[in-house]
Amino acid sequence: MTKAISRRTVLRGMLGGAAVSLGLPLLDCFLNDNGTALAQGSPLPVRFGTWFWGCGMNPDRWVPTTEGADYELTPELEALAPVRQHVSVLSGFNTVLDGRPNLPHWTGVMATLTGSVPAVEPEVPAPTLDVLISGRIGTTTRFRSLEVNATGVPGQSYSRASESIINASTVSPLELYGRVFGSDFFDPNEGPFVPDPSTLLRKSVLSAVRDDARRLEGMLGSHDRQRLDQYFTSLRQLENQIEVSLTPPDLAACSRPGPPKGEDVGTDLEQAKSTHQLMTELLVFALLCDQTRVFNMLFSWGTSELRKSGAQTAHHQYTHDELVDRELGYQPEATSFVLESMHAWAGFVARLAQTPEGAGTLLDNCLVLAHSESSFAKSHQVTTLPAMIAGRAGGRIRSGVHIAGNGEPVSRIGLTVQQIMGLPVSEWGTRSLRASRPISGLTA
Amino acid sequence: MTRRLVLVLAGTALLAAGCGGSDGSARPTATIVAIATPTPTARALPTDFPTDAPTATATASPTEIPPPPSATSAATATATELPPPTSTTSPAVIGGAIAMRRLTAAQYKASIADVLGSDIVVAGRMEPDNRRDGLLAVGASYVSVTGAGFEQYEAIARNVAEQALDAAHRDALLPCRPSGVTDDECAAQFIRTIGSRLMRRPLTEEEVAARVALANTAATALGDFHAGLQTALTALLLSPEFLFRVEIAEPDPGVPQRQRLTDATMASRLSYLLWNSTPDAELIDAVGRGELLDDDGLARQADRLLASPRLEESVRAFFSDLFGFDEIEAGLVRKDPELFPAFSQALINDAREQTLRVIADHLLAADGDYRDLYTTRRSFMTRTLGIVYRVPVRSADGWEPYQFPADSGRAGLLTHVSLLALRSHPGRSSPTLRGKFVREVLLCTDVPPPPGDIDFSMFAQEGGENRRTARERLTAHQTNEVCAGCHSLMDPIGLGLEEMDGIGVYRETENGAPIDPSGELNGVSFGDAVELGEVLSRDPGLGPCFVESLYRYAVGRDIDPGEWAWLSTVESELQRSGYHWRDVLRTIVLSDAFRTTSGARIAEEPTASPTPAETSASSPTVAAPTRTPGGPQATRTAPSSPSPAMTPSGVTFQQLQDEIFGPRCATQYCHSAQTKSGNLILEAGQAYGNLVGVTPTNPAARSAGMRRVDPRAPDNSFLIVKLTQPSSATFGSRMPLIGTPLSEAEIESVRAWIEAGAEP
Repeated sequence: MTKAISRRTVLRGMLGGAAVSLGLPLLDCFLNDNGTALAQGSPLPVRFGTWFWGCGMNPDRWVPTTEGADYELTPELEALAPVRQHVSVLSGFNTVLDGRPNLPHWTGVMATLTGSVPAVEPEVPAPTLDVLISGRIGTTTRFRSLEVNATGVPGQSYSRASESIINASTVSPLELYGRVFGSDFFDPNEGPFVPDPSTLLRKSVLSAVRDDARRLEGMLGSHDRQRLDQYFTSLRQLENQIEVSLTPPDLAACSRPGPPKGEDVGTDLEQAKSTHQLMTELLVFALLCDQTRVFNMLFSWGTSELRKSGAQTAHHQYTHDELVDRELGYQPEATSFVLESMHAWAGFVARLAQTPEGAGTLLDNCLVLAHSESSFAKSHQVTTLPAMIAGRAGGRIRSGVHIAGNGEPVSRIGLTVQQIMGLPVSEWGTRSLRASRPISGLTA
Repeated sequence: MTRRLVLVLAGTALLAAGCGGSDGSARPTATIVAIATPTPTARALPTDFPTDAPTATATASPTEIPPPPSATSAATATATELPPPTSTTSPAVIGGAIAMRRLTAAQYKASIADVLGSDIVVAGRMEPDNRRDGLLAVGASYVSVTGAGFEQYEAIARNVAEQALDAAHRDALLPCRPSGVTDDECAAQFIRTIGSRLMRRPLTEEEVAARVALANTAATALGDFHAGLQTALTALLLSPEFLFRVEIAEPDPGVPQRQRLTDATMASRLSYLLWNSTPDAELIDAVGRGELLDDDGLARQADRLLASPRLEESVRAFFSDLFGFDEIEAGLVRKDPELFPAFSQALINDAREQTLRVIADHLLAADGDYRDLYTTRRSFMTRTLGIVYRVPVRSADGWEPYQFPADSGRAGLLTHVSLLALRSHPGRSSPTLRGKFVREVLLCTDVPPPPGDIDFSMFAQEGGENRRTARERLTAHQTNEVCAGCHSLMDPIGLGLEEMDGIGVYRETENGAPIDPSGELNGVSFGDAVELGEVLSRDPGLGPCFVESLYRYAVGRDIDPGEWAWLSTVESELQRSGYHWRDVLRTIVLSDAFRTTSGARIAEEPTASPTPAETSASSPTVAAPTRTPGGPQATRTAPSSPSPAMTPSGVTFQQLQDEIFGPRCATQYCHSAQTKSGNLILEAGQAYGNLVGVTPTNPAARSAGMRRVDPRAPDNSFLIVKLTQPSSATFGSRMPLIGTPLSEAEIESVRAWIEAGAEP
């Protein structure tokens, strides 16, 4: 604890003689010789991410029949074959409604991410998992979290602190590039870091804004004071972002990627896949350069609008309208989108697994929760929700196993994830989704 | 959302089927607040106007009558009298709660154009506006700014400030020439003028001085006076009083029990409602003279704005919001290029413009009745649109008026490409989406969401023989009990529009089968889309829904139960005189409902009880704002091993100050005396007095009866909440905001110190 204090540095005289002193964040970012940790012994950061696909799966074709490490890959999990050792499959975890309505394509995802069941749409009963985790591990990186999607609609993001506080997605790879790797980004390979005086002025602006805005507090009612409080929190987030950019991390694995060469954003399946791939590339570099430790990737929305070129009907509509093929025993078109989603997920995992970091890979230092808002989308089923966890979280979790939930509340997943990420939570969720036991089969 | 559930159903299938949930309604029934029954005074007051909200679900927003503590005591629990109405024909009304309203993207741009110049380009994405109760204008009074949103605003602010102070542009804004790199007087002039226009109120001298200081710092650092102003301008553009329209109320001196909106608030309301932008110079002057608080003064300014060509902005802004055109503007309407090769962003942009032109032309130029928008054959065309509508257009580019012939199959807004394409899928049309639009947006009827446990296996149908047209495909919606209750509200309307495909192109067959566009709306039959428009225009719900939507748009919130009586009277009056745009706006703007309020909106309660974060050492349970005083419960487990420096049993405040409050909290940008973050100083010598026994500023903690530190009661100590609870809207950010979080041992030491009596 005391070491944090002694490591403070102060920069003076940056603004042409005007004495400006900065308290720099308590961040040490130089790798030690082994490449296994930052200097002074702190290990490489563990990152948390979510990966969402819409409209679930076919339970009798997705859920493995055996548990443990040698579980048999089912038809809808076949895409995971090349990365199965990196992914744990969680099946059979339920949403329990406690008499509340099952809001189509909403209740299931809220249950997974907030541990509570909303009363109406688009209610958000509690801040989502990633918001809780970034509140803990996101305050020392430039971005508290990064939300991206492959659908092209900014409002399509499940990262929410409340119904009115939605962390919108960046939908364009080019925009993401500009945001993360633009002029505020320092590439350690490009020579010594020289802080830009105008960056310090940006800090002064925010200080002045903050001081002045305080006057407003006394004039507002309780609802507006809450909103103003959120405004201040966001202002501090930007202040933090600027501060961190003044002492950029110097991670050995970091380098500025080239900008994406063009993009094609939309809900056509091919567009989604190519956008997803471009976003994944950028995300990998963003993580390697410690620009963020929390991310949310959304491949398709809860009411998946994925479509094949020339088709009149999209994924979601197929799940309801398409007839079950008598011989195959499932809906062919709807299921093809499940397979595509699993394929995209496997590709995402593979990309992280192929990225060297320190003595291992980037994936070794990640925990990525893949989830969907339903299991059998045709009937909006929110029992036996599908979930997968990729990565080893710095050695804290077991990967490559299948764990059967046997009807346990889906909030146990969220509880376990938070505990693995170091949050001091021993209980999470409300009513029948109140979870107090982590999933022991997951922890290493 | 508050809607009148005016359902005309064939049977009781709706309720029997449990459509959408156990009670058949989409919204939870919030506590219906007892409405103050107006007591007739000696003057003439109508004695029989309704005192209840009409059969409806209650409002979703927890506004409370009587007003919050800031009102005079006469207006609190004991008051049941409403003041005498300003007009003897209209029932007395006090407007609902007020809340600050974030500028929409369009309002932001218009405000910048009006204050800094129309040549300034506002580039870059802003945080998406939020739709609530069907309107972005309502969502604006609930949203705040997220971290990513703030980032976007800052980037835009820097860019706008740069353009504004550019050498080519600055002379228009700067009334003086600086005498040197810094010039306090000149800087103050700029900041005072521009600042007051941006913040929509005069700046105090203190505020001006603070920003002059900022400008001087920047100017000195960069060696350039104008760069200093640029910095000050950036700060102004990030002020919450620019980004949000703050609405303030004051006690009405003439009528002590009620609160009236201040003149600055009225100027802002008037200007953004009628011109969708910031108050102009004349309106600001009127505020200075106190004119807007006076009936005649307000009417004068309202009439001035209503008479201006800029009134067109009100039409465009309202209907863009109501119809969901923000999706078009954001480029989010996508169609399959193989199935709809004629579709492009240029087409949908033109379609949007076409609809807005038709509406503006009808409501303003022709001073027409709103209801006739659904039957009018007058339109405007570009060549791009002509291709899709299959009409000849002479001009190669630009707009020309066009009148649809009587037998064209098109008349009224429902046959517009904009609305048809918006309410379709990328691959095909959608009778359900179109029908839902008419029901919910045009007729203000709640359509409950689908039940979550539908067993679709019962719909296993054979072959493609009877699934060629949408009507055939949607048969199950109509014949099955579980579905029909709600779908019978929507599908027949949308099926009446099926002769226009997924981008609005006219067709008479689908997959070889003829399309049957006949149907029924609220018991009245129609044969095709044109007749549907006629039936809709005569529907008794159309006009009232329009008035209600426009009122909600004007005040940025749902309708308050206490406003229904007045609104009903207005609707009856307009049913007789016709729904003319200027009339409706004028009625709203001059009403007591628009000029008064019950007070500031009170914070909503969370639906789930707050999820306590519990350390393994102790588990404080934080009281939700609604719990009775008596404090939260706590359960304890044994503490984990503490750090050697502080043993829980022997920890002193000095140790906490040296190890925690000083180095981790009272940092330069946080709780130092200089920065005073959250109005709290935790430096040595001050921390103790600012913590122990002090009431927190956080409203939730305050109403739970907490103290920042409550001696011997760590579970009633907000400090513990801030150290252990995850960040939330209710309790704010977890502390410390930056840097290494406190260890469990450190937190336990703080608890132990409090438990032991919080000695100094």
